[in-house]
Amino acid sequence: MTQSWQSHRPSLGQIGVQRLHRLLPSDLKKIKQAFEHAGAEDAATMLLGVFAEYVLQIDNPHPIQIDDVQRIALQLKSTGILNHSYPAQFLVHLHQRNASPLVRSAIAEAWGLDLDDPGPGLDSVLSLSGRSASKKA
Amino acid sequence: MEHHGKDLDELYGRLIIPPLERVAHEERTETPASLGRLTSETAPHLRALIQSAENGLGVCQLVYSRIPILWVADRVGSIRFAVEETYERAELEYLGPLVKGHRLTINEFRLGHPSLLDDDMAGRIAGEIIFDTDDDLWKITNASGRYGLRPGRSKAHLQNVCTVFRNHGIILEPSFVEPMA
Repeated sequence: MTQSWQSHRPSLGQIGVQRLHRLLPSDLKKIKQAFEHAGAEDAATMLLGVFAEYVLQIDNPHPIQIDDVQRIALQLKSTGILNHSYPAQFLVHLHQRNASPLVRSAIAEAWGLDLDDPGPGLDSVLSLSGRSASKKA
Repeated sequence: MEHHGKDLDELYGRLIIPPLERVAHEERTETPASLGRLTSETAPHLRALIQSAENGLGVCQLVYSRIPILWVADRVGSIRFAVEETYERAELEYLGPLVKGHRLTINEFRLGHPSLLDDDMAGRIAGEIIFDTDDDLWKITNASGRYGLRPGRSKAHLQNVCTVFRNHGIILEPSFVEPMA
């Protein structure tokens, strides 16, 4: 049986905060495929921007929210997104936007980064605005 | 078949007890009302639910594309499952299963993977079972930050759980996300 709602599934460019929170295995596959083509950096920037939006909505993280953030971080990592972006800059960006230290720590742990030494590229981060979180130059 | 000790570590990963700061108070004190164990008695009912979606029942497809069934391999290698239940905090009134993406208010709480386990919250690999509407297949994932995505979890662990379900006539496609290093 084929339902009409199947055709309403969002494309990669339509993944928003709500969608990010409930990524299906097929979504991860699509994202991974998107990174294999031209424009991978733009796709990575868009997705990390959505992730940043999601994270910045968390003021006082509940234990399960930390779990959610770490799960999403690992799901994104599995798509290869870190190969098309500067994850360390992303963490600096979150710090500058006053994201919860617990949340930043959870992401750093998931991505294997040192929160105290996020790496180079601060100047690039300072130039970021809105959803542009960590586009690779 | 029963497995013990090192066998279980090899089959489903070592036991993990999440740190207290990563577990909600209610997950330590409450048990999901929907909690079940995969046995020869429960498997036919779960299989019927799974097959309803596979056979094209839209109600089942839509519901379980947004409401995952949580699962976890416990200390003795049994598979436990439940929906992620949400409750009103003051009265402990059941509100419904958590719909993926829905954010709870401060007056609500949800029961994640630790609540499926015994008081010590010790569990092995864990994740979600969900109907993927993109290809109309049931998937089993290791999407549990506290048990399924911890260092040391492997594709083989998830595949072994998949095999247990398959032995009960429940066919699930494994979808493994690399855990933390």
